[in-house]
Amino acid sequence: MKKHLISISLTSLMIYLLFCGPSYASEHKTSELHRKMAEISSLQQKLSQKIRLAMQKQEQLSQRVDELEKEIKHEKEQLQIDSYQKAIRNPRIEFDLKLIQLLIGYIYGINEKISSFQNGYQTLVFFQQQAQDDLRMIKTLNDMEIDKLITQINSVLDEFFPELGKPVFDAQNIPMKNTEKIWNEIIQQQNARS
Amino acid sequence: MAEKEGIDNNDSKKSEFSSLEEFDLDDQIEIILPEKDTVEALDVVPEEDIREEAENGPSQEVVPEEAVREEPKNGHSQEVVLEEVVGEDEENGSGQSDSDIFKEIKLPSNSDDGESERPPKDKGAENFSPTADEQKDGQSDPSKIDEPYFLGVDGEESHDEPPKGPGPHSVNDGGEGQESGKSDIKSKKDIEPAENQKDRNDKNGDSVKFAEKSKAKTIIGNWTFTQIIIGLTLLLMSFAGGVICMNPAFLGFKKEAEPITLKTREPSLTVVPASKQVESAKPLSKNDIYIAKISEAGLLRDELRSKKEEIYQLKQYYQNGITDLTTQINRELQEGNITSYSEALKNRRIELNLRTIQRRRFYIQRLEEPIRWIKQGREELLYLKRKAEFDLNLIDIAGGIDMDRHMRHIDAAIQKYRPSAEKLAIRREHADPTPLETIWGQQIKGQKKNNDQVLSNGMDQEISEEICSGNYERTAELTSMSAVTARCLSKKPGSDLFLNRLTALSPKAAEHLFKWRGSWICINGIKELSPSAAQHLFKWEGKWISLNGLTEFAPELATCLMAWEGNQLELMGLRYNKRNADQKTLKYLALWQTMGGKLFVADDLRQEIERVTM
Repeated sequence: MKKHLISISLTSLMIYLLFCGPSYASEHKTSELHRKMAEISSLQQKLSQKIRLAMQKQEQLSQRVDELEKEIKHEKEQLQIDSYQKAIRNPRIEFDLKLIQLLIGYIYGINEKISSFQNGYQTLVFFQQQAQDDLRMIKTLNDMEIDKLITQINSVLDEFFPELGKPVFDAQNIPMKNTEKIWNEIIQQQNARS
Repeated sequence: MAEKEGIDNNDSKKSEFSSLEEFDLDDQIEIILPEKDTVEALDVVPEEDIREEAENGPSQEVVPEEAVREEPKNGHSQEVVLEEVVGEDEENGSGQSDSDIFKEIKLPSNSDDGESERPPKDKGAENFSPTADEQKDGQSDPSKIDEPYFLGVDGEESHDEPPKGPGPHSVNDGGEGQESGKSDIKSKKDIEPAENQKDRNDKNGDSVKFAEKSKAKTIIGNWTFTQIIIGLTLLLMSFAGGVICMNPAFLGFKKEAEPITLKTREPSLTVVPASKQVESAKPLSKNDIYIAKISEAGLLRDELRSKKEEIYQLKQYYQNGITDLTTQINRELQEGNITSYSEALKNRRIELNLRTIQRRRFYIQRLEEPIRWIKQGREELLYLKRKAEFDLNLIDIAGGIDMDRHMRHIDAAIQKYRPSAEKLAIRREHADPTPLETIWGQQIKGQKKNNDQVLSNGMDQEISEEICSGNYERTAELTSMSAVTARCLSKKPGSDLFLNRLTALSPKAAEHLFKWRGSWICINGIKELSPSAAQHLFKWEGKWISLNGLTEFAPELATCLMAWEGNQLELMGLRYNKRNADQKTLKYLALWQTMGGKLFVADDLRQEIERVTM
């Protein structure tokens, strides 16, 4: 009688492990993937906000550059300035060129960051897609290897989450375009139009 | 010997116990509430004694107080521990320590009192023990400390002979008193106001410890004079505290002024003090401070601009004066048939006029300096302002932006370019005014001018040819324009056209010129504009016309303006004249503005236009 009872118990345990074990593992993976997807969504949202803000600023700066260029052209026309050497003797042109130089540096910094964020955003979209696919796979087959995906997602999250708290660019560390080059470009534009 | 005697500097004739002394001793004393019989004993102090005490020395009253403590260690049922109240130095009035005061107490003064009849032993018992300091130093003989002794509470007792010898000697005296009174202590307990008992068994050296721990006790009886004084003092201090609290100005503190209510017929107004308003105002954020500073730079630019305009007006005034003087000189020359410079100088009026022209020319030349300075200042301020604005706009996304640095630069520029008499001053030294002969030569009937005209016509011809061949580079150098040139120029690409050296424009040239497809045309050199030319001008499809050289704007021109579809017109050279014609012009200009036109005119004219509009 005792032996009979023991064998029944063991059999029950084996059946339980056979069916419920994988089920528990798949549930765990599913929840892990869901959590990662939520993190991806959150990061995507924040990156998107950052990109939008940066693009807005970049647009404003470009507009300012256009205005300054227009001012330089106006001064050039009014004062009949035909060379860079003469141009920088005029304070308005000189200062406008310096401001354009600064703004171009800022725009460069912003553009760099925008492309970096966009790249990150695209990567996140890719991993989200993969996570969704893997989820379906887990749902269907009850199991799947997701450790690699989780690691990759974590890597991207670790890369971009800290970036959100950092400034888009460092104003002290921007490339400065030569003002003579800027002047020449403005003149060329003007000549091309006329 | 654990005895000390309190001294009460009491002026009152009545013998009193100072309850305050208890408090002063604080944790060193143990306050034992007076027993009923003790209090009663206080009441039986003879009045004579009190009086005598007062006579002997109002400043010093020995107020002994004792505590009766039972100590089970010795076999006695009860020990009388003499404790004393240490009087405050302040109360002594001399600032001396108690021990010093004791020494000052004179025996003879007491010898006449009633107490002198008492047995010497009693006196000895009432003698003072060494001071607390001495006790602490261990000078007292511990073997004799344990002798209970009696110390009277009366004032006369306090005037007993002070200890003459060192501590131990006086202890002995005290000891005798105690011995003699030993048997009396218990019996006297009921009748004496306070009795000091000492544990005899305290022979094992604990006396020193005991001395350190000796605690004064004040038996509080009725309200004493001191108590009343203290009470009153406390009351007064409380009152004073209240008053100071209500008005801290007494102590030099500032109290927030209360709102003043104005009593008027209107609903009462509450005038809030300025300090309160400041407090209630929200503190400026950093951004607000930056914006304020940037605005300050903008305001200074405006200030500089108006200063520049003032200088231009001044220059114009001098120039007009020179023109008038030249006319006068020419008139004189014609009238006097003067042809040479030497002849001209002989005429005093001509000479003085030439000198005035010389001076005014000098002024005009020198006024270029402040104009240059102002221009530089305006440009620098604009640059700093724009730079700061750009960075301020990016401060939320960019790192490494130092707005404080911007503010410092703006501050420095503001300091540098704030107009002052010193900065705007023209330097008269080291300046060579134009020689009179040169001026004379330049003024002779406009010959030079005519020559220049010929030269410029030749130049214009060249430029016209270039323009018609499609080269517009020297357009701005044109001083005159034929209809053919205007036709060629109307084909010029671009949005801006600058013809500021042009001094006149014929209607025919205007007809062709204003077919040009651009948005801004600058013809600031034109001093006069005929209505027929104006008709063509205001049919132009551009948006912005600069006519800052015009000093008059006839109503006929203003009528033509009403037909123009552009929206910006600069007439900064226009001067207001209170003539009817000008009034009419003003009305047209005002009307044009109300139709959506943007007019740039001098401030005085703007005010007039606004007045007309109202």
